[in-house]
Parts: sequence; C-alpha cells; structure tokens
Amino acid sequence: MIEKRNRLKIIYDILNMIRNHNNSIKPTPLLRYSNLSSQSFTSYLGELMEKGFIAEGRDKKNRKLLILTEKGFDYLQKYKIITKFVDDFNL
Amino acid sequence: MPLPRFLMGPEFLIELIYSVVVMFSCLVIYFKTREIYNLSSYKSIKYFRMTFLFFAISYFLRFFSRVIMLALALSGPVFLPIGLSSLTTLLLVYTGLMTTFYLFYSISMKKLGKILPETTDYLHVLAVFISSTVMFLNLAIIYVGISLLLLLIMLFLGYSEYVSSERKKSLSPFSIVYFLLILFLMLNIFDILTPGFFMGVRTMIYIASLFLFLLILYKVLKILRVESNDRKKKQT
Repeated sequence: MIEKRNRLKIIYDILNMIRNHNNSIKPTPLLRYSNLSSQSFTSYLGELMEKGFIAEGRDKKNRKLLILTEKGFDYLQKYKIITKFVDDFNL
Repeated sequence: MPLPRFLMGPEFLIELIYSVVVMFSCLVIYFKTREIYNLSSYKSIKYFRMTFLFFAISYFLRFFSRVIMLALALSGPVFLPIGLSSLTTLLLVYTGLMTTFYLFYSISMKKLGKILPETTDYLHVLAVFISSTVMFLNLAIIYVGISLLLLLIMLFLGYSEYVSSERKKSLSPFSIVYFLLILFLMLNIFDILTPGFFMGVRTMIYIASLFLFLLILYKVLKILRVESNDRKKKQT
C-alpha cells in the first residue's frame, strides 16, 4: 500500500512540478525537484511519456523541454478522486 | 401462445428484479471506474473493477440457473439441451470463485503485493480446476470451504492493517461489506448447488445483498460526482 500510494503521489508531484513551471521544464531541474534517484526518475519519466502524460518539446535554443499533455492535466485534476477512491474502498 | 406458468409467478418476478438490479449496479461500478483506472494504472482498482464484472456475470448465470429450476418445479418436465443446466452451474461456480479471487487480490495488493504473482492467469486455471472438481464429485462443500478460507484471510488482513496502523483510524466499513457480499454470493451459489438450502431466509439475503450493492454503487457515484462538480465550479 505504502509503495503504491507513493507511486501515485510521485506521479502527481512530477506532473504538478511541470504545471507550476508554466508547463515547460527541462529534465535536469525536474529531476532535482522530484527528489528521486536518477534511476527512479528515468523510470517514472519513461512511464509517464509512454502513457502520454508528458510530451517532449523544444525551446528556442533547441533544448529539450518536458510539457504536460491533456492526459497529464487530467491526472492532476483527478488525483484527489483517485486517492479518495483508494482510501474509501480500502484498496 | 400462452406464457409458461413459471414466467407468470411471483418467484420469477422477484428473481428477475433482484438479478437485474444487482447486475446493473455491478456493471455501472465497472464502467464508471474505468477512467480512474486508466489514469492511475492502480492494480487494486483494476481488481476491484474485475470483481464487480464477475459479480455481474455470476448473478446473470445464477438467474439463468434459477429460471431453469423454477421451470422444472412449476411447469413440469421441460425440454432443455443436454448438459445445459450442468454447464451453467459449472460456469457459475467458476465465476463465483473468480469474483472471490479478484476481491482477494484487490484488497490484498497493499499488504501482499510483493508476494502475489503479477499475472492472474493461474487464478482462472485454478478456478476451472476447482469448479470442475465440485461438479464431478458433486461436493459443493469444496467451493464453500475455499471461499470461506479466502474470506477469513481477507478479514484477517483488514484487521491486522487496522491494528498495525499508527493512527488507529477506524476499521473500514467496506471490509465488512466485501465480506458480506462474498458471503451472500457464496450462499446464492450454494443454493443452486444444493437446491432449497436457504429457502426460508432467501428474501432476507436478497434484500441485504441488494442494499450492499446499492450502497457501493452510491458511494462510487458520489465520489465521481463530487469530483466532476468541483471541475464544473472551477470552469465557471
């Protein structure tokens, strides 16, 4: 439970961090803010990109940026309901 | 052409209403929770949804079995394809077991997630094996024994979580609700395997299980509605 709970929260934190940076952040600061090991961060980032929560973009200097997709915003909006559901139904 | 006698009796009507309400509740729970599962990929939600899908299938098969029994009891010998009744009962025991397995997985993932195998394919094989054994040996007690064992483990897990929680938050009422839902399903299936087993208390069990299914449906819809209302308020 604790591990899984943290997973939901970690995903929320990563997505929220991108949203709070005007929906575009470079991978390195995101890694720093996420408080994860490099290996875990890469794994989460890969999963979130694969699921279509995060997409890659480029800035004017052609540097890689991470941006939220509509699905990513949707997760942020529904995070509360997911945790409430899990809590209330003792899952 | 006149309707067969059993279709006009109150028993059939009660069975029909009971089964339709239960199936409808379970299917609404299954489909309404699809989005939050797709977003979270949370395994317990997946098994929770599968539990209610299998509840719906079990109650459909149970209705079918009851109709066959009512037809035989009220309309005398009727033409049925050979083996139809046995096949329905076999499928009913199988889906009943799968319901119990999925519920067990759903509420045990947080405690036993590292021990339980990732795949649930073996559960289907196990359920087919057990249901075939129950049917061939004509031993309904095997089904009851396995269901009761899983129920006791689920109750123990719920209680141990409550005891070990630091905040000593109250024991989730849904631990009891899940226990009762599986118990009622088990009794309903046992009633098919051993006809007339709980004839005297059947109505009580129907009312109690209907109440529990509607309670879960209400809770699911309430959580989803609160969230969508919040979003509407933000948009306005």
